[in-house]
Amino acid sequence: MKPGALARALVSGALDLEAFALPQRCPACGGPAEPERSLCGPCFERIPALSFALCARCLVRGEEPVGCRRHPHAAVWPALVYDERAALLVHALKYGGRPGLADALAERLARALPAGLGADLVTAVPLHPARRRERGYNQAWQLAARLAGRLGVPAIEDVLARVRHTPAQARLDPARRRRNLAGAFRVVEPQRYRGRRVLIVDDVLTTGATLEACLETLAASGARPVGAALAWAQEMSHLHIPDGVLPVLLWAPGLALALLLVAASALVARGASRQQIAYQGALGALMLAVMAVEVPLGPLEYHLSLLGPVGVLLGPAATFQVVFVANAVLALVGHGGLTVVGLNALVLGAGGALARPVFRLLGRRLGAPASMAGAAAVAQAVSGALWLVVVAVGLRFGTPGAARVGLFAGVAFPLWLAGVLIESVVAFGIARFLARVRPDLLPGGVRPAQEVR
Amino acid sequence: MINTLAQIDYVASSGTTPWHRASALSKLLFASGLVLLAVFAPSLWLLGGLYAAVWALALTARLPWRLTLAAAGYPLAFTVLFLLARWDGTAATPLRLLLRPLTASLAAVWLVGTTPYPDLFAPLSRVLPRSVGDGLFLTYRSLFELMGRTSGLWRALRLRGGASGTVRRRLTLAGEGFATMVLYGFDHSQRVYAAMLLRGHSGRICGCHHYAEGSRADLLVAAAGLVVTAGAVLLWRLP
Repeated sequence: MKPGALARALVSGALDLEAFALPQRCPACGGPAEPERSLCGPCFERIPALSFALCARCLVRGEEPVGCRRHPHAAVWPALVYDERAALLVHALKYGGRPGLADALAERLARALPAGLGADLVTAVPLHPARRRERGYNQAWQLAARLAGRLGVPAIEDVLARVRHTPAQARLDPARRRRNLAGAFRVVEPQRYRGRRVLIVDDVLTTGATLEACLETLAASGARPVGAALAWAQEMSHLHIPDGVLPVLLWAPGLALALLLVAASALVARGASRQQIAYQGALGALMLAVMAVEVPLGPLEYHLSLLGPVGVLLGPAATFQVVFVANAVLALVGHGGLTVVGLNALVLGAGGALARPVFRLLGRRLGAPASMAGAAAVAQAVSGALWLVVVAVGLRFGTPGAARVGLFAGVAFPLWLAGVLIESVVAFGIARFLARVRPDLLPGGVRPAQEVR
Repeated sequence: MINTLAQIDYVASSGTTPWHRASALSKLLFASGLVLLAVFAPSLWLLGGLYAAVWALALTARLPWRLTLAAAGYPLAFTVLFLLARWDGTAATPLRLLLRPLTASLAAVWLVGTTPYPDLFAPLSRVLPRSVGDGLFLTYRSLFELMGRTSGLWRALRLRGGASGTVRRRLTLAGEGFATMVLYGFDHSQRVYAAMLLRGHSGRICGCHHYAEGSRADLLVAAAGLVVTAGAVLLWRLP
């Protein structure tokens, strides 16, 4: 036995002994945990369940994966949303040496499958032999075998074989994901599964490429495949300016100016009630929360900011404070940077501060939805333009080397334009709803919604 | 993001390593020093050493390495774009451009992963205006709930036909959905305000002094600071 494997076995044994000897705590809430589920019962049941099929092929291509009818052999049924509780379970199942967890998880997986699925047999996405030796078992097979028991159909482990090891998919674009997995799997005995409904199971569905490759290989051999995954994890990425890429002559004055503006905005808003501060907190949290929402944009994803609507609802001073706080929270968790909190806040805050004046200006002639859309477009356009200016200045005066501002702008400009359009249409919807339901939340001086045709 | 943030938050509160026991103030000062060193260090050797040192901090704090890698890897997208635009044919420039943000973001993750947020925000809220300091607490407090709701709303929109039709229709419907979140945020803020009053809120959140309470673990932070400073002095002039 290699020293690494021996160490892992010893750690696993010690953890088992600890689990046997000491009462276990639920890592999600701190209450008593159920050993067979790792979490306590309520936390386990609170993991959001899914009960619809996703199209693995559309997922890989960055298209809408829900409700696809074009690729019938690429349907995958995910059981859970990959939230922090699901992540703990998957981590324990996959890396923590806890194959026993598969029992409870297979039960959730069985609940997610439709009644008329009609699977003839269940199998699992195969692991490369080297990975399997290292881990000691295939976590997907642990799930598949138990799921088969619940469905009352046979489980066959070696339907597919992984013929070569493939690198991780996460950082590859859709075309490379497909190339990466092309020919990675083969059906071991194709004639045995021809015409049969094969349910193939994986643990986490992220890019969809692995399951898509398996489903495609099975379909090509004449089987009628369908996929199931324990959890669906959605990816996200950001383009906040991080530490260390911009010259100090740019970020230090930016930080100083932002702090001055924070102090000035606090002076302007010194009469703000505590209720108003709580409202600011809620809208700041909403800005951060919607950043996790992905709007598919071809091979890329756009992450909303709601800068315009927040700017309109709060006004310039409070918006700057909210933007500063949001950037500080992001920087503390590794998004953006601590030294560039000031610049990031200035870039976003400048756009956000313009939103309410533009809204009022447009509101004299237009209704609330169109005014909000205009305000959001201006806010996003100004922020995006400032962002490009900051980066261009950083490229020109930063560390020595050739600066290709054009290359940067070539990538960033389409995103900027898409951002302006997307944010303004979303802002239109927000104002249309608020104008009908809570017009008092919108600043005054705008024509009421019913007057607008 | 919700997974990463929630897991970091959990690790910060449940960790029992000496780094977790050290005071928030000493860790905040140490992490700020690390970030500034990463930003200003001219030597590639120093940057490499610093990156390794911060990884050592993260691993000895028992932060799960995959989680740390995911959280501290967020600057990569921007940095790679910046790096391509600054490509000068040498290995040193891209390496510097990569190591600086990665080290700084790793230091931030180490800080947040070893310090519960009330302790971390308390010293910041003392130097920031009240509306901003309180805003930090209230934003973070509302964040997880709103993230869960937003994610549920987005899923519901996709399931109930909100993802079909023209792009304009889809985005407008999404906007209407987010407007319900604005309303929820407003109601939530009213409830939070009422709860604050009931709990005796008198003008500033977290008047506690836990963040500055020293312990023996702070000696470890001081020792780490000394080691990093000594390393920086030795390696500063190397290429």
